[in-house]
Amino acid sequence: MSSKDGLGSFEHLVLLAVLRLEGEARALDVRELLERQAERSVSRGALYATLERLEGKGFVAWSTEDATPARGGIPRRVFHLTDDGLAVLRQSHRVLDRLSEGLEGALG
Amino acid sequence: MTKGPPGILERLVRAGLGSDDRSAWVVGDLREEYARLRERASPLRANAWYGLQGIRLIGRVWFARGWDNVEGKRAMGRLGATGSVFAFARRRIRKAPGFSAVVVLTLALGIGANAAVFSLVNGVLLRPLPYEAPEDLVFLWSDLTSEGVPRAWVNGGHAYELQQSASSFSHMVPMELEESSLTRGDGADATDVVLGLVASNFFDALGVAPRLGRAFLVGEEGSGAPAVAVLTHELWQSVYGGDPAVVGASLRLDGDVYEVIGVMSPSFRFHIHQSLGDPTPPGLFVPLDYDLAGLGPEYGFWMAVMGRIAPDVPHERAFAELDAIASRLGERDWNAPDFRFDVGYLSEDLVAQARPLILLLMAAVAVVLAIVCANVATVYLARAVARQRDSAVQIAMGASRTRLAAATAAESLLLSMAGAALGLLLAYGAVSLLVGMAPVDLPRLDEVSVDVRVGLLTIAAAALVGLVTALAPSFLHRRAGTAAVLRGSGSRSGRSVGVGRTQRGLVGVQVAMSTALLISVGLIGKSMLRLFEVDAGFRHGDQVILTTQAGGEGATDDQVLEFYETLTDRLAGLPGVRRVGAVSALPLSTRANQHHLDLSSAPGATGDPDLDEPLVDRLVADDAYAEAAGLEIVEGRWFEAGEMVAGTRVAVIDRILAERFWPDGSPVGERLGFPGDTVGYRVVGVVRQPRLYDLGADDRPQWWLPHSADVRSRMSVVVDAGTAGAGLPNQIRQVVRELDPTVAVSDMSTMEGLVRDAVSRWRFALWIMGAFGTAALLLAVLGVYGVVSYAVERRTSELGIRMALGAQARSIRTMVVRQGIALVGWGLVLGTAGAWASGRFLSSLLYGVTPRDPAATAAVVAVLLLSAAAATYLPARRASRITPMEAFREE
Repeated sequence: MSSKDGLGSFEHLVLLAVLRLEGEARALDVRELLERQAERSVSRGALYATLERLEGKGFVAWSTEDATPARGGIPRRVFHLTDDGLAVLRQSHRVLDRLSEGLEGALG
Repeated sequence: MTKGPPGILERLVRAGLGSDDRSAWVVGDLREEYARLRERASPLRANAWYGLQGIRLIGRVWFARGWDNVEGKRAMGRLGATGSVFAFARRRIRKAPGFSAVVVLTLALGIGANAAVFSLVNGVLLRPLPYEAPEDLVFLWSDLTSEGVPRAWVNGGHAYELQQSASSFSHMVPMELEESSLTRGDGADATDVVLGLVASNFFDALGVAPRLGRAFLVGEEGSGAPAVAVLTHELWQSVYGGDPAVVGASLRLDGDVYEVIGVMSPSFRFHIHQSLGDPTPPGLFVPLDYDLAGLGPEYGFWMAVMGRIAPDVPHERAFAELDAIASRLGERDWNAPDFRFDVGYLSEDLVAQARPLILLLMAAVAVVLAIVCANVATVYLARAVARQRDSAVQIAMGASRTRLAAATAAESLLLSMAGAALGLLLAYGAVSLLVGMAPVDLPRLDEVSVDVRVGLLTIAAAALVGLVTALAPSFLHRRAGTAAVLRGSGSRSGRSVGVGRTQRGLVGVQVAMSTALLISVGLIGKSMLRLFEVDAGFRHGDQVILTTQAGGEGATDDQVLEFYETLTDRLAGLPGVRRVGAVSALPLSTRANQHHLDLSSAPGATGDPDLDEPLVDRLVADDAYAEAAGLEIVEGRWFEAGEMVAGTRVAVIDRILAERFWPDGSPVGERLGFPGDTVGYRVVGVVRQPRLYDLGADDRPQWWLPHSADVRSRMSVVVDAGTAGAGLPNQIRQVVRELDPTVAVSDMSTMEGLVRDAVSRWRFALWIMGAFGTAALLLAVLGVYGVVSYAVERRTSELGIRMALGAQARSIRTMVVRQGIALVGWGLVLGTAGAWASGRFLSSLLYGVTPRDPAATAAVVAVLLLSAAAATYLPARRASRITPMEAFREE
């Protein structure tokens, strides 16, 4: 895997969140989920930049949803994982699984 | 219908984020989240949240690696074509965080100091007084220049005439200030207050109305006027705890009962000129309780008169009418039709004394800003040189020269705006520091704050600074020949000549300005030292001083005398207390009464009544005062205890009178007195004048009477206790309270404190100018260091060759240091000349030194030379360690 295709830890979390929200992954919801589940505060700038980067790497894509008055007529983007995205996620999980094997005592 | 964020905020966020699609998504998300928050929380919170998120996002996009992760190549393309110069400038800033931080911090210091000092100028000098049409308000004085008093109080009878006949004025308000003991109706502890006795149209003239209750009614003045009082908000808070039921309640002033009819709003303040006595604003106002008609000049001059010129009356006409009235009064009262009133606008008058000091600070801080500009320009210049190759590449690839210069300007504009923002924050802190240190006699300090005007001016100054500092590198862009730079012929030596000269010029200017500033600091410091050494005619030690008011209006002379006798006796009985004396006017208090003294039969008399009846200050004291205050008896003796009884006709005069009227003999045993007083007072001694007005110089002559000869209910007491403990003030209060619980005791101070207050203007100037001078020196030294280092780097090959040819490290070091000092030399000459030429700005702060004081100048020159030598030492050492190999590698 070249460095261009590598997955940073925050990117990893974002991909998981998008996967978990399947079909409902708007930037706002991704952020909320991350803040709730990962117990970390997520800066908007970082999230947007990460989503852009993941899109650039071909791991996520988006479609638009109809505009609502609350958004001042700007449509929303809903993100979903591409096949590449799913593949890279699976691969890093396999790596994680293999590396974690037998460490249950320490990792709890 | 869901509401979106305020339009202006959203537009700002859009503008900040840029116009591409990605930004639009973000704006939409923000809007949606705003709507959600708005359902749960208040609109204010939602708006604040939106603003904060907007700033954070914009900040991230601008300065961190936002989603705009396109770098380098793209930037060039944009700059050549249609991209924003600001986008390019932002990238430059991001790429050099260290450089940007240094520039922003330097600018923040310069801009912050300016904003803080300008806040002072704004609050004290510029902000209009808080009255209706303040430009129509004037104060009137009697011009008694022939008596040596260009601004004397107005006589009561004259004030009455003015009220009656000055038709160009809609209001004419005679008033006087009094200090008084206030006790609440319920008999709570007495408070020392400043009382304004005013004509009933006082509040109407200012165009202000009470917040609670009412003001005085028209005609509610003169003998038989109701005893009513209007409180300031401050007094209402401090004495009544803001109790609204105060209206209608009664209070006692020196024992007399008054009814409270009104309370002013918190913003109301009456600003009094210093010649009205204490700069403390009155805490409450009562109507003038006597009739002015018929109180001719024989009663003296004691009133302040404020007038409001009627709307639509040209001011010249109003002043001409005053001249006519004065002429008539002068003619009537002492056959002098050339008598005039001196008229000053309220706003100008108030700050007349503070103006020179504040303008000096403004000038000094402007100099600091200029140094900061020169410093930042030097830094930009150095970087422009380093970046010259990049620029040349960019130009070669199609970026227009103008756009490149514009990008540099944009960069420095962005940096100076960041500097301004940080500077304003600094100013917020600095303002409270400034106000805390400000001299006691600076008026309107409570109005000094960083307001919109200060903010706008700061932004304007920052924009100017940004453009000025951008000029230097832009100039370079114009000069650099692209081809020459790209060929590399401009790499080390040739092309740098112009840059070097500009840099040296900028550093020279910094040195010059620092020199001028530091010389001012030296002069002020020396003046202050001189003032502390001055023998002002009294011992300024740790004697505790306090002021009290005995009994009410009804107290008899005997009761007052007895009160002070008992008080001083009991205080003298406190442990450790050596002497206790009482006096009507403490040194430096400016509180003496003035009148004429008949000396026409003294040996030094000239026969000219104007000279032989000089205007003098009259002071009253008890027998122990001279020792307690440490007065110097030049001849004869001070009053004795036995002379403290009514009817004793003895006096002490000061040395000025003695030398003038008894040039060859002694005045002791002679008699003198008020004009027309045939009995007179026998002189028992001559004293050196304890200065009443100015620490640095004698003023009017003084003569002294025993308290019994001129009974005053308000006296100051000096308690000389040697090294008494900190508990003494409390013990003193206790003694007063036991003696008479309705008597208020003023804040206590010490004789030393009087002198400290008197030099507070110098101390303030010294601190501020010292801080500015130090900052200027540091910046200038950094500048010298920068230029010399640059010169050494540029000459690496030359120095290497010198070393190869056998030059000693020591001689190389000397050469470099000498160069650095030469750089400083012309700055020193220019700065000294500048300081000497501008000495008159300092004149109000100089005492016992001339603006061209050689010692101060020499000290500053030495400090700068030493600093310059230190700044060149590091580059000189580096130069002396250059090896020939290094030099060749350079080539």
